[in-house]
Amino acid sequence: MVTEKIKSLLQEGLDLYGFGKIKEAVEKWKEVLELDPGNLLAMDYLHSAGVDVDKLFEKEEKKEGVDDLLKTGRTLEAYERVIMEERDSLYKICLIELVRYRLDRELRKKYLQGKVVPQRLVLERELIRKALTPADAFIASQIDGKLTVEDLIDITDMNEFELCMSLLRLEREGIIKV
Amino acid sequence: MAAIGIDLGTTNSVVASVVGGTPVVIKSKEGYNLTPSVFAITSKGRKLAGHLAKRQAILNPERTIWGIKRLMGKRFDSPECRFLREKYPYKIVSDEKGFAAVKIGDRNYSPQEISAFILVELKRVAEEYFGEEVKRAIVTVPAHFNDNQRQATKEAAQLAGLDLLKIINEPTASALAYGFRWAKEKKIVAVYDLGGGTFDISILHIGEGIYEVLATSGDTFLGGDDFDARIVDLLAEHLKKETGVDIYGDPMGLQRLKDAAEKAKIELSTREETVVNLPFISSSGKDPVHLIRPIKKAELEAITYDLVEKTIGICYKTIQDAGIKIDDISDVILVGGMTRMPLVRRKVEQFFGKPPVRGVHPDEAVAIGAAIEADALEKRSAEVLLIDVTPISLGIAVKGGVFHKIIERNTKIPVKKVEKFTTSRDNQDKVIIMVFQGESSKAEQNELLGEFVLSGIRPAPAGVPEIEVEFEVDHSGVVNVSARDVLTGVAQSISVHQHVSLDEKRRKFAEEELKEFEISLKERW
Repeated sequence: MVTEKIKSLLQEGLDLYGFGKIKEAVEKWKEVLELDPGNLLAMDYLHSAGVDVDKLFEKEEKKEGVDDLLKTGRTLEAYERVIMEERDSLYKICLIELVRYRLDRELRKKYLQGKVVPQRLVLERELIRKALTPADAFIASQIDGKLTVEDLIDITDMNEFELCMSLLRLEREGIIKV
Repeated sequence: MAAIGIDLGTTNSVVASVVGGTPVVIKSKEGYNLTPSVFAITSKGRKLAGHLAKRQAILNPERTIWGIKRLMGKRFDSPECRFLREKYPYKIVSDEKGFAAVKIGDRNYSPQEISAFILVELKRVAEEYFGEEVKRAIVTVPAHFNDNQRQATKEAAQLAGLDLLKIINEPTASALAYGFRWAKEKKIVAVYDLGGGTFDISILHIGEGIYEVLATSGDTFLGGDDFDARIVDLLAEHLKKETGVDIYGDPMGLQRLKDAAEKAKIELSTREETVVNLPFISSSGKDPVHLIRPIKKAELEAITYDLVEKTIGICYKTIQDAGIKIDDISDVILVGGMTRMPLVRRKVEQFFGKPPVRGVHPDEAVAIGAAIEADALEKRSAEVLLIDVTPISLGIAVKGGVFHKIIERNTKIPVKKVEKFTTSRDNQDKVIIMVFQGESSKAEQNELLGEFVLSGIRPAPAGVPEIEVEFEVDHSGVVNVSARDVLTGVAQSISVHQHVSLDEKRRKFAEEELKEFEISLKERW
């Protein structure tokens, strides 16, 4: 079934290409790649149409991914993904800012509204089994069930965003609860 | 309205009060009995006092002020201050009168202002407990504090919005906390006080409600912090050897190491061994660095033995000063968190030839004693009568820069003494009265408390005019001096505090800043 569909899409693309409708042809071949990533014919045709297949594929995939993550409320993962990318286009810079803004808003709502007192769920010495950065481990070590998030900001001298990010990561690792 | 007793310590402070006839330490809402005597302004401009300030100390060293008690009423060019300037990570500067102040950002704070921030935090703790405003308080000071230091403490209390009932000496307060419970027999007791930053030993005569200090001495740079520092060194060295990481270059790691050292020290007071376990203490290259190091009690004792020995040496000298024999001491009272260390208890017991008394809480005794006295003053109770002494001799500079003592040290207070002086030149129409405190025969080697001019002396040959100089030390140990020309009746006086205290403008400014701080604390909690 899929093979049939692919064959037909490849052919439709060629027909459109023959009539000079390059854009439409490219869309057909891209559809092929979605169904069958790495399809050599489609990549070859796209290459002939002057499309940088590698780049297009990468960009498309990541953009899709981040959107998905944002839609499903996984803002932290979305942020972690965009932050790793090279900031080589205005689009990417804007995307990072957008995701950061969303995340900041969520973090503030979660940690900075009212007096939020995080609790540590594991002993300090047990942190060794977790994958942490020294900064995250430092914050985890300071959480004593008495300090509020605001207090933590004051004693660690970190900015609100950085600190809340750490809390979110620690929470995801099951090290603290809020 | 309740009256409170405050132990304003070098490292930690405690607030207590008599509630329903029983003296109790007031716990903060967060459950702490002690409040670190630390003040900080964060890089974002937020003022912090107590636990929060302590916990960010290493990350924000230049804007975190600790150990301010050592600078109270001290001159910038004094030897102690010179020593501290090298030791403290924050900036110590001179104020316009030559007293030590600290600099945070571009603003100078006097030690009394910093202490006032800490007192405001303690006031908050008490007010939360009582659910109403608390104003009336007794604050304690070390017995050897001179008048400038007492005046600075007094001003700190006033800046914090407290009505200071009295200042009392710490060993006296401890003895009061102890004596409060037992029969009214006469005894000589020793108060061995090893706190976070200082060591004090006092010999007191107690009986029938009278508490008299016979001798007192100490070391203002010997305390729990020094024990912690030894452990930090031990751990840092271990880390360096195992991983090559120099933790002194990593503030976050060092803060954790310091906290862990203090915890280990406390644990080793009740256990034979503990393990310092700090995962992710630092990052050297790619791999995370963990610190896991067991410490045995014997090891801790080996690296801190000399510190304890030092205190015993001071005890020996103080007993000689008091003019008594060790056997005359019937009770030894241990005060200060460090006296929980088994090594300290053992050495003290060995030296005094008897075990220390039980029933005195080392962290709380001073504040409890202050609370008992505050309560007695409020109720005008005659049950307790404190007789304290001036720790240091008082006098004036006379011809040739000689120090003439008017009130000898260890004189019971309150006290008033008058002496007659005269002029040294013919037709001298004024004299400068310079008030000093100290034991040196050279005036300039003692602490200058203040000076004033008595003018309008009727012209006469040298040695004829009679000038009466009166010294008065009140029950808080605070000094007032006046001078009078007997012939003309012209008089001048100073309450010596004008010397060390802030001027009117600074004072107003400080009061407002402290008010703001108090409001911010209330909002926060």
